[in-house]
Amino acid sequence: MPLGATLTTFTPHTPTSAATMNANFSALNSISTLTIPFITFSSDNEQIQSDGNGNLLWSGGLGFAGYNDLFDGTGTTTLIKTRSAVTAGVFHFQIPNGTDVLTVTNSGWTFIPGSKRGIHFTTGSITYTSPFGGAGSGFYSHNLGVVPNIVLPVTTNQNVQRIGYVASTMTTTQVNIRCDGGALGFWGWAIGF
Amino acid sequence: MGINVSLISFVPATLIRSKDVNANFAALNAATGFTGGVPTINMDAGKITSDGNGNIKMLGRLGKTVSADIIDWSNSATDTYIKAGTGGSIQFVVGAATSANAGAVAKLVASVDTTGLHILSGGFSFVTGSLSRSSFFTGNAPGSYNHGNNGVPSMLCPMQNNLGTGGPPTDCQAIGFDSPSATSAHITNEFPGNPFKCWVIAF
Repeated sequence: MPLGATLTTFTPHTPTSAATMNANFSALNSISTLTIPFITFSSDNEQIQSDGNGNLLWSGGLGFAGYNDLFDGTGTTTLIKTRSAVTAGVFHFQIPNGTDVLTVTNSGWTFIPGSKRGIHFTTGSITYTSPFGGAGSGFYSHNLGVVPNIVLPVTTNQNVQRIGYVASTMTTTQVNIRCDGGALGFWGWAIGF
Repeated sequence: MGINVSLISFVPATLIRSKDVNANFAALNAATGFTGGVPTINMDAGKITSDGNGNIKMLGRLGKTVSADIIDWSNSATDTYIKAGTGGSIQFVVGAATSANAGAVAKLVASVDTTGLHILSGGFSFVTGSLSRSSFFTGNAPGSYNHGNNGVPSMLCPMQNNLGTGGPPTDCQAIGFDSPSATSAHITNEFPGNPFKCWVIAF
């Protein structure tokens, strides 16, 4: 799209008036909207530049209310921030656009239910974790939501006792805890990989 | 730099022809691109500005295909949305290997995809403590087992998961571990033949 100013065309063998010449220069000079694109872009003494391939390079921050309240890459550490400068605000990691996979607040990281999502380490992963407790042998709700890969019951009474669980009867809701003492207390940790 | 169109130069003491003037005006007016810069950015009725120091402020969103498909902070009064396309991932890279930063090594340290958060270097640090590796194996007798943790574990958690057909203590037993190495650990259980499961952790 060209500049598109309205210009007067000069006619051969016709006197060129100063007013007409001035009007044309003025028309070009007073274009209120630059409709032609930047081949590449630079601003702020070239501290903001594009490379012609759709990449933007800038040396400062990126902000909403302030100039670096969202991204701050001015130092060797890149800061990514939520809009709120105080305590509220949530980071939403979405794949694809509109579907939360993971959120982060000042309370921590939360995987959004809907599919199996967890922490993947360089070796192994953890997707589900649930503490529960009880006293003595019997079926207990582990609250994991899936059949655990492992359950770790540990006695909490002052007397040492043998304790374990029965894998073959585990369900998405319950696990059979077996201990050789009486109704002594235990804490359990159910884990899903 | 500039609009950079081809213009006719006028020569002193030479008649200026109307068609040459017209041609110059037309060439300028028909320019299709500008090469150069602006002192500061001011676009979209002041909704995108820069401060002259390389900092950008924008009230809208950033996108690749459509606005807000990469970063969106205008959808909420408080929240920031970071996004990837279907089948993609959001990756966190520390360091940059560029000509201006010779010797630096860009390292992919973590990513987020639809299966969760991937710790690709180091571990996951909690307020107290950390976890870096997790593996799992099963068995049913005392002996050395490959734990699959790809390093010396910090902790092994063997737990009997016997069938429960007998009464205590037949299906409840003492169990423990010793001699962890980068590949294996020795499990001792009280009643050989009773199955166990073992979670292996590195902090």
